[in-house]
Amino acid sequence: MSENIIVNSVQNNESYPLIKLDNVWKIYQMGEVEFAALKGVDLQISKGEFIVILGPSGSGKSTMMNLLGCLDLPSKGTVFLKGKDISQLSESELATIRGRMIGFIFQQFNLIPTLNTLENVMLPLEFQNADPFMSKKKATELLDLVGLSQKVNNLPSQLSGGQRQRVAIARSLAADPDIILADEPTGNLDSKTGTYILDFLYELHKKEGKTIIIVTHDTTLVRYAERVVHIKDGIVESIEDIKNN
Amino acid sequence: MRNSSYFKMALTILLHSKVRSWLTIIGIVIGVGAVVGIISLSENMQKDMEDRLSEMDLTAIIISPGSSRAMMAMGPGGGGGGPSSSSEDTNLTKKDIIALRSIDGIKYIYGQISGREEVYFLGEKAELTITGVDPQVWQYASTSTAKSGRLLEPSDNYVAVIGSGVAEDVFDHEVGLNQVLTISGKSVRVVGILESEGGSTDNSIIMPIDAAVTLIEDAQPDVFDSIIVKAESMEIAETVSDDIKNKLMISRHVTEKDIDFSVSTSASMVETASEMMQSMTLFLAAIAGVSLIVGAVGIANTMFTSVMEKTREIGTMKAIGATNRDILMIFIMNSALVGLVGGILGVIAGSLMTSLFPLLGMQMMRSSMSISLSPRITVFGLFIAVAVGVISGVVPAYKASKMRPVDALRYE
Ligand SMILES: Nc1ncnc2c1ncn2[C@@H]1O[C@H](COP(=O)(O)OP(=O)(O)OP(=O)(O)O)[C@@H](O)[C@H]1O
Ligand SMILES: [Mg+2]
Repeated sequence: MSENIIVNSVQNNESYPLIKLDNVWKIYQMGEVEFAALKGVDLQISKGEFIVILGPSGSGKSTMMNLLGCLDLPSKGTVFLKGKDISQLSESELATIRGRMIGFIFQQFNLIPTLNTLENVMLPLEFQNADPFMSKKKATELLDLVGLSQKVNNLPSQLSGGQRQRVAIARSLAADPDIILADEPTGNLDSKTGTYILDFLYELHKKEGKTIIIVTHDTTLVRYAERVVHIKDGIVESIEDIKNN
Repeated sequence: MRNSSYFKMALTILLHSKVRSWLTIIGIVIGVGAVVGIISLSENMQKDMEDRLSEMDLTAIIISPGSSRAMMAMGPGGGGGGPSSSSEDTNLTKKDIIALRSIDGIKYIYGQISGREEVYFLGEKAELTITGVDPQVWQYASTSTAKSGRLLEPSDNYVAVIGSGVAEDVFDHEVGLNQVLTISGKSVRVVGILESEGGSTDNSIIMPIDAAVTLIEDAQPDVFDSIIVKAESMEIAETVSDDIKNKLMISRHVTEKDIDFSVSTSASMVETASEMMQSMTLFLAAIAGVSLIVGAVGIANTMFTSVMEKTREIGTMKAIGATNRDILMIFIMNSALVGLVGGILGVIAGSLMTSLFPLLGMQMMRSSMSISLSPRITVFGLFIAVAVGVISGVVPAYKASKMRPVDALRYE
C-alpha cells in the first residue's frame, strides 16, 4: 500500500508546523453566484496547542474546520499538514490521514445509529484495519474513560445528548490521533455537560499533549484556550495569545 | 477495512432497515423461486422422460385421426393409452386396418377406442378412462403385465383389466379381482389388475372393444380413436411408420396437404414431448428472468433510498477514516445480503412450488418424482440472488462512495 508510505511520512515528519494555512481561500459556487467563505486566511498551528477559533455564525468557521480536517480542499492557497500540501494527496490518502491523525467531534454528535456505543468507538480502528481484539480493548478503555462503561451495548438513540457526545469523544480518540477537531462540541448540550466535555478535552491536552482545535461562537470557551483565532466574514481579524493558564 | 468488518457493517444496516425496504425483495423472492422451481421441474421431467424411454416399447407406432400429432397417448405398456388428441371430423375405421395389413414388418395391429365415463364401485363414483382394445391382439401386443388375475382373452365380453391406480387409489375401497364395476349401467367384472407402470395406463380400465363400444358415449363399432401398430423390431419402426403413412394416404385419397391422420412412432412422441417440455421451460425461464430483473430494480431502488438516507453517516464515516472503497464495499455487501435474504425466501418458495407440481396433476410426471430441491439447485438459487443483489447494489454503492465528505456531512 503506497498510501501507507506517504501517510506515514506525513505523520512522522516533525520538522514542519503541524498545520499551516497559506493564503487560503474557499469560494463556493452557487450557480452563477460565487461566495467567498474564506478570504486569504493565514494561520499556523503547532503541535500540542489548544486553539479556539471564534466567530459569529456564518463567519466561515466550519469551512475552516473542514480544511483543517482534510475534509475539503481550498479553492486557492495551500493547506499544509506537517509540511505536505494536502491538495497533492489522493482521496484514500486523505481518508487514511483523517483516520489516523485527526479525531472529529461534531455538534450533532454524528454517531452511526445502527451501531452500538462500543461499535461506534471501534469504527475508526476498523477503518485502519486494526486487530479486532485490540480495537475492542481500546474502545472499552475509552468508554471507561468517558464514564460510559455501563452503556457499551446501547444504541445512540438510547443515550442522552451528553452521553452521545462522550461516545463521540471516545470515538475521536480511538485511533490515537494527534489532533482533535471539534465544531461547536457544546452547541447541543446544557452548560454543565458542556463544561464536562471541555474539561475532559483540556485534561487530554494537558496530560497527553493532544492538539485541540475548537470551533465555536461561544465566548465562554475562550477560557480554555492558549490561542484564540477571531474570524469574521471569512477573514482572520486577530489572533490572541492567552498564556495566563 | 477487513472483509469481516464490511460484513458486520452491512449486516447491522440490514438488521436496522425499515419494513418498507423489505417489501422490495419480493421481486427477488419470486424470481429465485421461479428459477429454482423451473430447474427442478425440468430436471425431474428430464429424468422422468429418460426413465420412461428406457422402459418404453419403441416398436410401437400410433395412428390417430386428424393432422395433429398424437401426444403421449401411450403409456409405457404401449397398449392401454389414454385419449389421444383427435379431431372429430375424420375417423379411423376397420377399412384402414385392412389397408395396412399388407405392410411388411408389422407384428401386431389393432384399433383402440377410449373415452371418459363415470364408473361406480360400492356406491362411489369416479370418472375414469375406458380403453377398448382388440382382446385377441392386445394380450400379445401389450407390454403390460398382470399383477393379479389375467389379461384379456378373445372370449371376454363385459370384463375389464384395470390399472393399479384404479385398483388402489381411486376408490376408498380397494378394487379386487372378480369385483364388479358399474359403467353406463352395465356390470363389468374385473379379471386382472396390471402392474404399476407409472403412465396413464395406471388409471385406465381396459376392456374388449366390442363391449367398450356399448359403454362409451359417441363410440361406434369399427370406428377407432387410434390404431396401434407394433413393428417387428425397433430398427424398422421408422420405415414401417413411413410405409403406413404412404399406404393410408393412398387408401384414404388424401395428399400431404390435406392429410387427415397422423402417424407417430413412440420415439417421435418422446421427441415431441421433450420439445414441448423445452418450450415450456423456456417460457417459465422468461418469467423467472423478468421477475429477477424486477427484483434487481427493486433492490437498486431501495439501495438508492438507503444511500440517500445515510448520507450524513457516509460523511461521518469518511471523516473518521473510511476510504471510498470502504463505503463501496459496505453498501455492496449490504445489497448482497438483501439478495441473500431474498434468495433464501425464494428457495423456500421454489421448494414449495416444486412440491406442488405433482398435485397439479401433471400427467407426464410419475408419482415417484422427487419433490425436494437438490442442494445443487439450492446453492444455485442463492448464488443468483446474491449476484442480483451485488449487481443492483453497484451503482448506488458507487454513488455513496463518491460523495464528498463535506457535502455528505452538511446533508440535512
Ligand atoms: N456548501 C456551501 N455552499 C454555499 N455556501 C456555503 C456552503 N458552505 C458554507 N457556505 C457559506 O459560507 C459561509 C460560511 O459558512 P460556515 O458554515 O463556514 O459558517 P460558520 O461560521 O460555521 O457558521 P455557524 O456558526 O452558523 O455554523 C456562510 O455564509 C455559508 O452560507
Ligand atoms: Mg458552523
